[in-house]
Amino acid sequence: MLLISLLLLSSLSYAQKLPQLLTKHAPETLRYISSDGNTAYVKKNNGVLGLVMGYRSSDFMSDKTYSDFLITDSFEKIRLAIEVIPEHHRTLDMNKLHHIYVTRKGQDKPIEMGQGRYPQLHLGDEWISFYRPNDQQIVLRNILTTKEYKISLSKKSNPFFFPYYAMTSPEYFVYTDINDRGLAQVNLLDLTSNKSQVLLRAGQPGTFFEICQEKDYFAVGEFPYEGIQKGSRILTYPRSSSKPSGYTTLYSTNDADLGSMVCLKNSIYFVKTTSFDSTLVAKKTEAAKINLADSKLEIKSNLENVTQIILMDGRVLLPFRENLFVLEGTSNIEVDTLQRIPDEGE
Amino acid sequence: MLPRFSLSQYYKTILGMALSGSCLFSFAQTPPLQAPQSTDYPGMIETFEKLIGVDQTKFSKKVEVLLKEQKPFNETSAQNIRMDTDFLNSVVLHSNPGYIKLASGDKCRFYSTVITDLLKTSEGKIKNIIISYTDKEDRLHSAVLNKRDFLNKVVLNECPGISKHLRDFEIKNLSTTLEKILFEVPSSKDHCANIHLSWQVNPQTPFLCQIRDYIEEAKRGEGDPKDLQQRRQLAKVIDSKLTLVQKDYLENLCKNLDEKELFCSEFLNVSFWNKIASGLNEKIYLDEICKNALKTSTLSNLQYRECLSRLKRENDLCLYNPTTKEGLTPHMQCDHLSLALNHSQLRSNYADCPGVSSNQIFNNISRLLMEFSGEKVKNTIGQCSVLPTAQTLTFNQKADNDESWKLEACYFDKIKDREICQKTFFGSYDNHPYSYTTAVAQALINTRGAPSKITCNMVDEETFNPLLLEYKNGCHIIYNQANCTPTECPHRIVYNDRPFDLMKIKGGVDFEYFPLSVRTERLSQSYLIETELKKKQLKLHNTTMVKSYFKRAKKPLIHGIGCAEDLLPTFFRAQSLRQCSPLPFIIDGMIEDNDRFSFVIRTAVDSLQAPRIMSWSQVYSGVKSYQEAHPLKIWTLHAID
Repeated sequence: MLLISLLLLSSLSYAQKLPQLLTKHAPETLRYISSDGNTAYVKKNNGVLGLVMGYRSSDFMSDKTYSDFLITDSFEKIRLAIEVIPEHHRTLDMNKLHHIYVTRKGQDKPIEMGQGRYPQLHLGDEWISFYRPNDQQIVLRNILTTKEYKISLSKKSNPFFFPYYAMTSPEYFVYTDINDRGLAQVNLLDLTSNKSQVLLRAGQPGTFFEICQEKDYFAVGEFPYEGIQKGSRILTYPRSSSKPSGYTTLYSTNDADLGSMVCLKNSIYFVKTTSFDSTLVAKKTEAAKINLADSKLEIKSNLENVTQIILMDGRVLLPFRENLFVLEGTSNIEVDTLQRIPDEGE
Repeated sequence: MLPRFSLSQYYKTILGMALSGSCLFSFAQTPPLQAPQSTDYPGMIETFEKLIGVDQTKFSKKVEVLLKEQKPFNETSAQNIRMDTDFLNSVVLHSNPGYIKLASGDKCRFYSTVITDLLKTSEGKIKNIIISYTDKEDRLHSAVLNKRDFLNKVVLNECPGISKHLRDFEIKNLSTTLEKILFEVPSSKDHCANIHLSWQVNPQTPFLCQIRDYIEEAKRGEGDPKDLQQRRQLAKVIDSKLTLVQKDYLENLCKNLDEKELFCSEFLNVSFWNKIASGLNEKIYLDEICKNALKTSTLSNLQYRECLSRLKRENDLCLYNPTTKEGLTPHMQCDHLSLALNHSQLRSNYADCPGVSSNQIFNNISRLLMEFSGEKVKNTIGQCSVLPTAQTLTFNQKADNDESWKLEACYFDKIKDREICQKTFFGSYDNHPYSYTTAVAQALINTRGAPSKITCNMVDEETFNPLLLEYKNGCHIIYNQANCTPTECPHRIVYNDRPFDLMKIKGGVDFEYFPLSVRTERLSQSYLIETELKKKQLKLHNTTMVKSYFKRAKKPLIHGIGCAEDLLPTFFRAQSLRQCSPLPFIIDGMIEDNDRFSFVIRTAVDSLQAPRIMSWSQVYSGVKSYQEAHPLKIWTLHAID
């Protein structure tokens, strides 16, 4: 017992070394904040999503009382994808369809894109994809022209499977799937011919592929699902207009890591398993960073149960219980300073 | 006045005393066993052998002398009847320590173990019992009684309750008696310790072990060879009245009455798959796994055996189900799944199909309801997830809380000139009045003049064939199995080979698991569990509370809601700030290692037959994150007392 208390104490004291995100908004209401802190979306009571820009605050969207909002951006930082979750606390359905909108950051009215989950923006934020679990289809849509592709996944035993996807060029779209033998695969869809082929297939059942991308590359991670003791690996593919083919193995281990990859220009963050207790079937997990140049791995947290890492306007965040730690980027954006009016001629 | 025979005191000191030759001598009439005047002590074993030798001589001599010299034993005048010290010494030296433990509870249990042939003396099975007693003049006497006299003159006088057990365990009553006895399978160390203790004090235990010993002896050909044939026949009859599970259970219990650890390890450390093979657990846990492994839709006994043997070699065999209905896959690998199932105790001998459920609240609540009620699974039409849906609905109806059920099937009644609406769910469970099949039948009676006894079927699109005669007549609700839940189900209706499209579906279901506002507190499911099921709930905030609850509770059950992104991060990823998908769960077991522990948990998307193992830290994170998202910021981890 004493040991546990000491461990808890030490982990908390170390965790304080990771800075928390400090903003002028109540942490539980914050749904999106720009890197400079000037643009923020906050959830208000009664199903309203508010937009705060500088000192101006307005109601941006409204829905029913128990609706919630999720906001995602891409590394291109032009548009935002907004999910409206109806009956967030009363219809507890992991396959529930969310209403998906896009908007230019802090500007125009949101445009509805359809219903689904896990929206992703691609290619100058002119494309959006999302997944519809009810018909097991990925929808890829051009925001400007409404050109649309519907990509059906294979029949599988997991009714709660959610794919990862990325548009690597105007011609190619990569997405993950699991085949009928339980083997994960990364498929490549040629948008010109509308034909899919397998880019990568797992050699063993019980793992999943994850995809993240940056300007010059996209990364594919293979990790085991919860409760399965298998190894993990991260591969990188160069991004170009041609068909993705050869990859570089950036990282490979026998540890059952969690994944949750975030791609940055020179590095990739992910959740790594640091120890595994085989008697209790319990593991400790931390945020890790691996450099693209030299594959150097660094453990960045000491919280013991890190589950997710997210990227928001270039800032890498680690949500942990009620706290929001900053792994990369500025952490203190709660102080507002009045901007000096530029002198004439400046 | 001499003290009455006290076995509890006796047991505490008996072993040491017997070996040192000083056991209960103060109460003995004849001089007790004497250690030899001079003894070499080369080792413990030799001393012990000598002691047994001394006991053997002494005991047989004493019986011989008493049989010649004793006065007739008159039970009406005898007082302060107690066991002779040399007799007890002999029992201690020759009996199985587990049975001595069983005998040591109180006087009546000692008598039970004697009359059930569990204890032994130097002469083997007890034939003669040496007692001491005082007469009316307070003079001390000793007597040898045979077992029959001992039973009639001593046991039934002093412990009349034993006569009921004797009746219960007669051959003609044995089946009924065994049916009433609960052979409880433990799910945690603490739970197992309680079960072991309860068997030690259970007055039926000596009689159960007598059954087990009798069968074993007959099988091994032990005892008097003259009546062996007869005993074997009787043993066969008794054997036929026991199930395989009961036999294994008694084997473990009677062998390990004084060895709690061994008794428990048989349950907690033996593979769950072996338990299924021996009949201790139901085959349902293997159904989906084996169907998937063997690529078949039905399983013969031979296939079950083949699958069981593969499970031991192929750890990945447990990962997948053949269909999407059963819930989240991959499950844990076979070894960890077996560990989880060994420590789990939630009722899970039925399917509730979270994969085709529209609201995971129904699955979690109905799992609790099925656990508490113990009721049998009723007749189902449509998706198998109608069971949790209808169970939760009925529970709310009983609590006058079906106002929150706003899903309605409506049609326009031309005669009444108004729209008629009826609360509904897609499918039918136990002829529930809200079944959609009933709603459609009623609409057909009112609008199409259908016969009053008409019933409707739900038919999967792939099965429905309008060319077949069976679909030409009657009412058929045609739906797509892959895309239908009890509250949302695209479908069409065919009545007498013609489409019927008057039905309109309106509304939805607004159940709250934990209250979302002060106003709706009394409508929440957690409130109804307390008021309707009379179950107290305790919020668990830390590991101390969790451990104390698991130690205290007879059948621990914790329910709650956490964020799926923390509970199952590899299945449900977070890509946005404050992304939290509320996921109900039930914890029903604990795996311990020194001071640390993990939970056995079923989230509401997991199959009932495939629990997972999760650390406290993970569960805490999930609940803490949900607390941040909850409108009232309440703590949603409740133990049910």
